[in-house]
Amino acid sequence: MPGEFTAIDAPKPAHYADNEREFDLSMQPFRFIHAANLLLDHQLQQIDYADPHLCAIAEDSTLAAFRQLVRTAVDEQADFLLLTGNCFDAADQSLLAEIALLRGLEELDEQQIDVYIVPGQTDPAACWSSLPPLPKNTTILSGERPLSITRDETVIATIHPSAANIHTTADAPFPIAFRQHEDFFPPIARQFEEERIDGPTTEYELVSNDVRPAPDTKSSTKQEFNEHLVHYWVLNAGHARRTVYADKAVAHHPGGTQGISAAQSGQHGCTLVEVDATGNVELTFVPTAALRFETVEITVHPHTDRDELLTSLTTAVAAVHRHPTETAWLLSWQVRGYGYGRDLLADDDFQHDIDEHLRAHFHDREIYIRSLGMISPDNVASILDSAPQEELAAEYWTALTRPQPATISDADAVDDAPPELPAISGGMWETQLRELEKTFSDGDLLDQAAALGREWFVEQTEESA
Amino acid sequence: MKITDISIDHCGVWHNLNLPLSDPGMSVFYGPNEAGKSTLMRFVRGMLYDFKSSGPGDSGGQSELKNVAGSLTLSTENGSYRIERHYTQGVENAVTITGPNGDRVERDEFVELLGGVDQEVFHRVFAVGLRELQKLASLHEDQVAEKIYGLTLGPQSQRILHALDDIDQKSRKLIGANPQHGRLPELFGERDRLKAELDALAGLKERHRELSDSQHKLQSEIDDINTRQEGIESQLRGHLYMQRAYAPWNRVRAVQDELSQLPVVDSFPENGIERLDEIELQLAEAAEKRDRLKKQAKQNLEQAATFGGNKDIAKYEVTLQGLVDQRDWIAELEQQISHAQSKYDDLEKQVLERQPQWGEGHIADPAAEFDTSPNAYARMVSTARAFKRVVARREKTKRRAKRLNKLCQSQQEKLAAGLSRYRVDSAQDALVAVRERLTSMETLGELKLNERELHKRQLSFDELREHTEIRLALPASYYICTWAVTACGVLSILVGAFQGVMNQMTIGAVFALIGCMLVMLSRLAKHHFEQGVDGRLKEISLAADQNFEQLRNVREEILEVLGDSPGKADDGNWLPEAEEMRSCAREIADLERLAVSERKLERNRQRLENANNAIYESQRNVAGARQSWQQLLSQLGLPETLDVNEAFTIWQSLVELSHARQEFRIAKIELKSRRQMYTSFCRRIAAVGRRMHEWEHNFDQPLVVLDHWEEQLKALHGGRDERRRLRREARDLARNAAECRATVEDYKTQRTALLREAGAADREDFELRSQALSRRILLERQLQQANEDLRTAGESDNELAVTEEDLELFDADHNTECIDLLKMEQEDLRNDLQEAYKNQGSLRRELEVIEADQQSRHLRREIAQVQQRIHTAGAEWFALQRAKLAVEQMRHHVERTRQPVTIADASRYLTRITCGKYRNIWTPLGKRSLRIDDEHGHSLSVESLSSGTREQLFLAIRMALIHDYARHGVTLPMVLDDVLVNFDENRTEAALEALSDFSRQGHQVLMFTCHRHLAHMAKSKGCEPIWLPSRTDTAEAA
Repeated sequence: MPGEFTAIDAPKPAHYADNEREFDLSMQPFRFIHAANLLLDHQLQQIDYADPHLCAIAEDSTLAAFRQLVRTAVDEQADFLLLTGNCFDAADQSLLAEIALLRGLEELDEQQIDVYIVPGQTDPAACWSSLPPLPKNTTILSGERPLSITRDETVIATIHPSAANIHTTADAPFPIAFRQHEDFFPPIARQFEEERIDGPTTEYELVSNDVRPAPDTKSSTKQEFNEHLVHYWVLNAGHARRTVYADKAVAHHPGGTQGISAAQSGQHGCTLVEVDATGNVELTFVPTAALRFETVEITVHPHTDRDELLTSLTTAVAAVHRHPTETAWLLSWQVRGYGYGRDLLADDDFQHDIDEHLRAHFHDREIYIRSLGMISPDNVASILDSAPQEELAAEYWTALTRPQPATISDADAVDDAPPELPAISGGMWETQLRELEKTFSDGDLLDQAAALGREWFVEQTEESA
Repeated sequence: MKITDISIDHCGVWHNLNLPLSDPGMSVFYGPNEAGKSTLMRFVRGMLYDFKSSGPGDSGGQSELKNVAGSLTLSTENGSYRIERHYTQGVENAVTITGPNGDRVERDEFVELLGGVDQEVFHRVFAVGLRELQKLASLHEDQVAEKIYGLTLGPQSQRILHALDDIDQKSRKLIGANPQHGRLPELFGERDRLKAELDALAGLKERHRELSDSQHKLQSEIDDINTRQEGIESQLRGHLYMQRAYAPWNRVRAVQDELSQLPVVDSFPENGIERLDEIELQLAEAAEKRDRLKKQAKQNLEQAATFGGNKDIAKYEVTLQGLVDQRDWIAELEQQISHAQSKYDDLEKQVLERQPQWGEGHIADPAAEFDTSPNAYARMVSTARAFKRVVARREKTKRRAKRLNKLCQSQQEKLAAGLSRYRVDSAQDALVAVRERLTSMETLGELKLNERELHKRQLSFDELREHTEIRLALPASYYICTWAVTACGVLSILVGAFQGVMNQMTIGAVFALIGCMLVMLSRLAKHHFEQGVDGRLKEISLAADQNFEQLRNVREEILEVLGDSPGKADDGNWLPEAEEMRSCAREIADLERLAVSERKLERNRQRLENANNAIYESQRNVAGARQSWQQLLSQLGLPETLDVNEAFTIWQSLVELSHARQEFRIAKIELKSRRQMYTSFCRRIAAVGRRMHEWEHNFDQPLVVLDHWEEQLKALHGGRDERRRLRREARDLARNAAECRATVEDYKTQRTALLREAGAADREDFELRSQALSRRILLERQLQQANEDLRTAGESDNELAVTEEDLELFDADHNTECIDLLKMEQEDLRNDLQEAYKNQGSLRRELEVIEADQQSRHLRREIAQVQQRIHTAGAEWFALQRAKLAVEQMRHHVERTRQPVTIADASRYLTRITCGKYRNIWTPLGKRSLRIDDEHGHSLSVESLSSGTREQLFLAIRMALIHDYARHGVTLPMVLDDVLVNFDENRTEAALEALSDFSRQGHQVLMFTCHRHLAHMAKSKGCEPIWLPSRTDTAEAA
C-alpha cells in the first residue's frame, strides 16, 4: 500500500495544496501508475559479474522491477498504467525483454488494466511496431491526436501525446501532456524561483538532483505550464525522479524503475497518481527496484583507523532505509576529509572487508551488500587552481582551460607550433573514436585531465590536498 | 688570467720568438699561410696544459710538435706567473711554474688557477680553430653540453618532461603506434566481435517470433476445432436421440399389431411341444435302434464264417513264433558283427602303422620282448632319475673344481707377487721377522727417549746446582752484618764489663748479656743459613748422581740394541727409527694381508683337492648308474641309449603299440564268437524251413525268412481273434434288439396321452396351438420392454424432445448414415485436435528452449562490460590528449622563456654577429639540439643554417660559454685561429666588434688570421694587430 512506502517526495508545496479547486462534474476520482525507463533486460553497469549471487540479481533486476510494477498496478487497482519512454533498449535486441513485456501486458489485460505507452529514445515507435501483436489493452501513443481514457464508458482523462500542440477543452477532463525534453525543468524552476523569491526555494525541486543552468528557455514558459490547463505534465528527464508543482498543474517524472549504474543511486520505482474529483493530484512513490545503487556520505579524520572507519560505514548504512523489493545494495562512498581512512577506502582489497562486515552486521535485513569503493569527490580542478605554491599546476590549469591554444604564425615550422589536440582521422578506429568522443562531456574530460595534472604537478601531501 | 708574454725558444717553425702582449683585451695576430699561427695557438694550449696529450684539434692535418721549449707569462689577480716548459717527444716533459714572488708553484695550485677547466674543455671552447668551430659535436662534451642544453634540468622542466613521457606511455598503451595495437583498438575489436555474435543471435528472436505466431495460429486452429467439435456433438446427440427413441417406438407398434391377430388358447400342457418332441424323438430313436441291432447281428455272423488260415503255419506256429521272437537279436547280432569287423580292421591297421615308428631294426618282435607293465615303468623312472642325479652331481662337482682351480691360481699369483717384494717364501715367517724388528725399534725408541730425558735432567741438575749455589750463597752484606752484630755484642760485653767494673754491676751485666745475645744470634743465623744451602746442594748432587747412573745404564742398553741392529748408529736422531717403525708397520699390514691370502689359498687348495676326490667318486657313481640303466633297458627290451628322454619316448611308443595290439586281439576274439552264433542260428532256421517244405527261401539271410514267417503268423492270429469277436457281438446285438421293441411300445402310449391333453388330434394341430400361445407371451414381453426402452430414451436427454409425427417421419437408414458421417467427422476433428496439441507441445518446448537461452544476455553483459572499459579507456585517452596539449604548451613556453643563461647570452651574441638576422637560440626540453629563431620568428634547426651562419652560431655559443665561465671565476684567454674566414664582410665586421666588446668585458681574445683585411679591420676598431715575423726572420734570428 502507498502508506507503507517511505515518502521520498517532499510534501506538496503550499501554493498547490492551498489552491482551491472547483468541483468539476466531469471529473471522476481515479488512479493510475506512472513509470518510465523500465529498460527491460538492460545490462546494469559496474556490476561484478564474477559474483554469481550479485550477477543473478543484477541480470534479473529490470525484469523483476517490471514484475513489481505490474503487481503494484494490480494491487492498487489502478485504472491504467502509463509508461513514458524507454521501456526497453532496442539496441539490446533482447528477446527476454520482449517476452517479459508481453507477458506483463497480458497479465494487465487479464486484470482489465489499460496500458498507455509513450515511445522513448531507446524504444522509438518503429521498434514497437516491429513487436509481436500487443494485447488489446495496450495503446502506443505515437501520434499527435489526443486520446481519451475511459472507465465504464466515461472519459476520466485525456492524454495529449505532444506538448507542443495542446488543445484542451472544457470537456476534456484531466489533461495529461507530455514533454520529451529535459530542459523543461530548469525554466519552470527558474520561473518559480523568480516569482516566488520569498517562498521556500526547495518547493519546485523535490528530489535532490542538481539543476544545471538551462541553455535555452525559449521553449518553456509559465504560460505553457499553466494556461493550457494541463493538470499533469508527464516528463522524460533522465533517470532521476522529479516533480514540479504549479498553481494547478503538476509536472512529474518518476525516474527509472531500476537504477542502471552507480550514477543512478538512490531509490527507484514508479508513482501512484491519485486524482480526486477536484483534479487535485497526489503522488506516491512505489519502489520497484530489486538492486539499489546507493551513495553513502561519510566523514573521515586524520586519526580515523580501520575499526572507526567500519563503524562509521555501518552507521551510515544503517540510516539507509530498505524497501521490501530490494535484495541487493551496491554502495559507493562519498568521503569527506583525508587520512588513513580515506586511503583505506581507496584500497580495493578493503572493499571485501567492508562487504563482510556490513553483511554480518545487517544479516537480519536479508540484503546482499557489496561495496563499489570510493567515488572521486575531489574537485581536482579547484585543487589545481588553488595550489598557488605549485606554479606548474596553475600553469597547467591555465593551459588546460584555455579556449584556443596560442599559435605561432610560422607555417613552415610545423614542429614548433604549439600542439593541438590530435586529429582522429585516417585510423581504422576513427568512427568508433568519434562516436566515443561524443559520449564525453567537456567537463568530464577536463576533470580527468586535471586529475592527471594533479599527479604530475601537485605534491601529494595532505597539506596540498 | 691573461697572457702578457709569449716566449718561444723553439716550437715547430718558431725559434726564439718573443711576443709581448701589451693589450690585455683583444690581440689580433696576422701572418700569412704557413707562418705558424696554428703552431702558435698550439704552443699556447700546450704551455697551459700539455704538449703530450693532444686535444681534439691536434690530430689530423697537423704534424705533432716534437720538441718545444718556451715560456708563457700570465697575469692574474694574484700577480704574474711564468710557465716554462721543455718538451721533447718521448724523452722529456719538464714544466716549471713560477709564482708572483718567484716561488715555484705546484701543479695543483696551477690547475686551480686554471679554474678547474680541463684540457678538453679548453680545446673545445677557449682555443678553437676553424675546424673545431664548425663542429657542433665538439660542444657535446658533458661539461659543455650541460651549460648549453641544460642537461641538469630544473625540477619544473623535469616535471614537464616526465608528464610528457607519462602521457606518451599511457597514450601508447591505449592506442599504439600500430593502430591495431593498444587497449582501445583491442576493446573496439572485442566489442565488434561480441556485437557480431549478438547480431548472429537475432535469428533466434525471429525464430521465437515465428514460433509465437505459429503458436497463436495453432491455438486458433484448436479453438476452431473445438467449436466444430461442439457443433458435431450437438448434431450427433440429436440423431442418436432419435435413433434411441425410434427403435422402441416402432417395436411397440409392431407388437401391438401382431397381438391383435393371434388366436386365443385356453389350455395347453405345460411344455407341451417340448414334451411331445421328446416323446417322439425317443420313440424314433428306439425304433431305429431296434432295426439297426438286428441288422448288425446278422452281418457279424456272416463275417465270422469267412475267417480261416494256413494249416502249415498253424502246425509250426510255436516254433516259428520262437524264431520270430529272436529276430531283433539276430538283427543286432548282424550289426555287432559288422562293427566288430570294422573295429578289427582299424586296429589291425593301427598295429601295422605303429610298428615302424620307432624302427624295426632295434626290436624284431616288440610285442614279444617288451615289458610295458607299470612296475617296469616305475623301475625305469627310478633308474633314470638316479642316473640323471649322479650325472648332474658329477657335472656340478666338475664345475666347482674348475672354479676352485681358477681361484687358487689367481690367489697363488697374487701371493707370489706379494711375497716376491720381501724375497721370502712364507708371509708368516716374514711377518714374525718384521714384528721382531718393530719391537726392537720400539725398544730403541723408548731407550733413546729415556736417554734424552735423563740427559736433559742431568743438564738441568748441573744448571740447578749452579743456580742454587749462586742463589743460596749468602751475600757479603750478610757477613758484614753478622760480623757487625758480633762486634757489637763483643763491644757490649766489653762495655758491660767495664760498666760493671767501673760503675754499676747491673748495667754492666745487662750490657754483657746483650753483647752475648748479639754474638750468639749472629752465630746462630750464620749457622742456620749455611747449613740450608749445603743441604740443598747435597740433595741436588745426590739426584744428579742417580740420574747419571740411570743415563749410563740406558746408554748401555741402547748400545746393546744397536748391536742387534747393525748399521744403526746412535746419532740421537729419531727419524730413522720412526721411519723404520712406519715402514715396519706398513710391512706388517701388508704381510698380514698376504698371510690372510696365504691362509685362504691353503683353504682353497684343500677344497680343490676335496672337489677332485668328489669328481672321482661321482665318476664311479655315474659308471654304476649307467650300467644299471643299460641293464634295465636291456631287460625291458629297449635299445641301449644314454639319452633318458629318448628312452622314455621309445617307451611311450611301445606302450601305445602294446595297447593297440591288445585291443586288436580282443576284437578278433569278439568277431569270431559273434560269427559262430550267427551261423548256428542260420542253421536252425534252415532246418525248420525244410520241415515246412519251404524251399524257396535263402536261409543265409535269416532276417528275410523271419520277416516272412512273422507276417504269416500275424495273419493267422488276426483271423482267429476277429471270428471270435464277431460271434460275441452278434449275440449281444440280438439281446439289445429285444429290449428296444418294448421301449417303442411304451413311447407310443405316452404320445397318445399328451395329444389328448392338449385337445389336438395330431401333431400338427398340437404344434399350431402351442405356437400361438408362445407367440402371445413373447409379444407381451416385447411390448413391455419396448415401452420401457421408449421411456428411457425419452429421459436420456432432457434438452431434446420428440413428437409422434417426427417418429412417423423418421428414416432410420438416413439417420444412421448421418450418425456415421458425424462420427467420422468427429473422429477427424479429434485427430486434428491431437495433432494440433502435439504441434503445440513441440512449439512450446522449442519456445521454452529459446526463452531459456542465456547466450544473448551473456553477450550483452560482455558488451556492456567492454563498453564500460571502452568508456573508461576512451575518457583516459581523450583526457590524455587534452593534457598533452596543455603540457606541450607549457613546454613550448618553457623552451622559449626559461632557457639556460648561456643560451640567452649566445642569443645576444648571435644577434650582434648576424646583425639582427637571428635573434633567439633555444633548445627543446630534454633534447640535445639547438633551434634558432630568425627575425620573423621562424624556428630553424642548426642543419638548415648556412655554413657561415652555423660558424657564427657556434662562435656566439663559445663566447657565451666563456662568459659563463667568467661568471664562475674562470677567466682564460680565448684563442681563435682564423675562425672568421667564412663570414661575409658585414658579419665579419660585426663579429670583430662583438669580440672587441667581449674583450672589453674582461675576456682576453687572441685571434690569429691570415687575412690582411681582417688585420686592418681590427686596426680600424682600435686593436693594433701583431704582425707575426716570417720564417726567414725567425731563422735569421736563430
